[in-house]
Amino acid sequence: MSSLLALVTASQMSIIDNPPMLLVQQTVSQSVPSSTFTTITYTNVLYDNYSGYNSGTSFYTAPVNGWYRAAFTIQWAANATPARLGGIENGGSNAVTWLTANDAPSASGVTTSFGVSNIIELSAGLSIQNVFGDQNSGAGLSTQVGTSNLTSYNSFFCLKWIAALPSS
Amino acid sequence: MPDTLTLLNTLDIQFNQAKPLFQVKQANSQSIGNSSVTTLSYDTLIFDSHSGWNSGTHVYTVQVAGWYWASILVNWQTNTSGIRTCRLNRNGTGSSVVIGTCTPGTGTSAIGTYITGPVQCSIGDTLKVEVVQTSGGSLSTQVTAGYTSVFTLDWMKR
Repeated sequence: MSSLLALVTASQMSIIDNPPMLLVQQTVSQSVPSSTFTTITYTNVLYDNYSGYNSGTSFYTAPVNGWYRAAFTIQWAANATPARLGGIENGGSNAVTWLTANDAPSASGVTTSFGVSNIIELSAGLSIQNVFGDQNSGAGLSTQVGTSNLTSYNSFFCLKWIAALPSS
Repeated sequence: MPDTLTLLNTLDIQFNQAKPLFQVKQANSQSIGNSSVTTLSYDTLIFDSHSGWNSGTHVYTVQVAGWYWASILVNWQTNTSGIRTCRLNRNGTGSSVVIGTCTPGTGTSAIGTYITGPVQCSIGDTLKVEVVQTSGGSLSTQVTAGYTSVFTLDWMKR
């Protein structure tokens, strides 16, 4: 083990011991236009140990190469007209990494929760990831924050480094 | 000589071979009252690396501080009314992050409520799963035909 450790640089050890992680949350409701990919604004930074997040743009710049676990939720205000979409893209460019969708609630007066979790490959300094939302209700629709349906809602976005990329 | 990736993966195994991992599931159906925040009962322990689970209270007590990845899946019996919500509760307070809702469609299938996300814990913190449903009457979880409800905690960083 000691010979193994000797071959690993201090920076590599640091990444393993303290891997990059981001957790941001939306605490201010945001209106999302109909049929328009819109960056979701997560303004409340709960954790960002490598200062990769820009709360002005809601973009995250990966500090190191690697595979990251990524997850997000978007909480939508009550509206019965489908659909709701969301995903991860590169810096608001509509270069979509993931995209998924689901139907709206089956009845009005009910908020919709929408979330995805998966693994993505990011390159240091180049991969600027953000969450986008879209909806096709026919008019602007707000995200839901605060309390509704007996519970508290806040959309979140999380990235966490989990493994190094293969040597190129 | 191994490359850097191999070394990193080996070290990761060395550091994480004792990391906390916990999973329980529900083998018996549980009736949930209307509009009532209810602790979900898990009767089947799948894995508990650090013996944090209390099967009487259905509460997990954190044994190692750090960030955990929580995953919650709750399956409900067929009913087309109201909402279904599941959330993580830490130290008696419902999470506003690890919380998911869904609404049933008009079909005849059971539906699942799922949420996954991070939670930061200290030693001694308590974690449990809470559910809410507003069907208008009592509604049971679904545990047959392959459906079940699962609660997983995976330690991911200090």
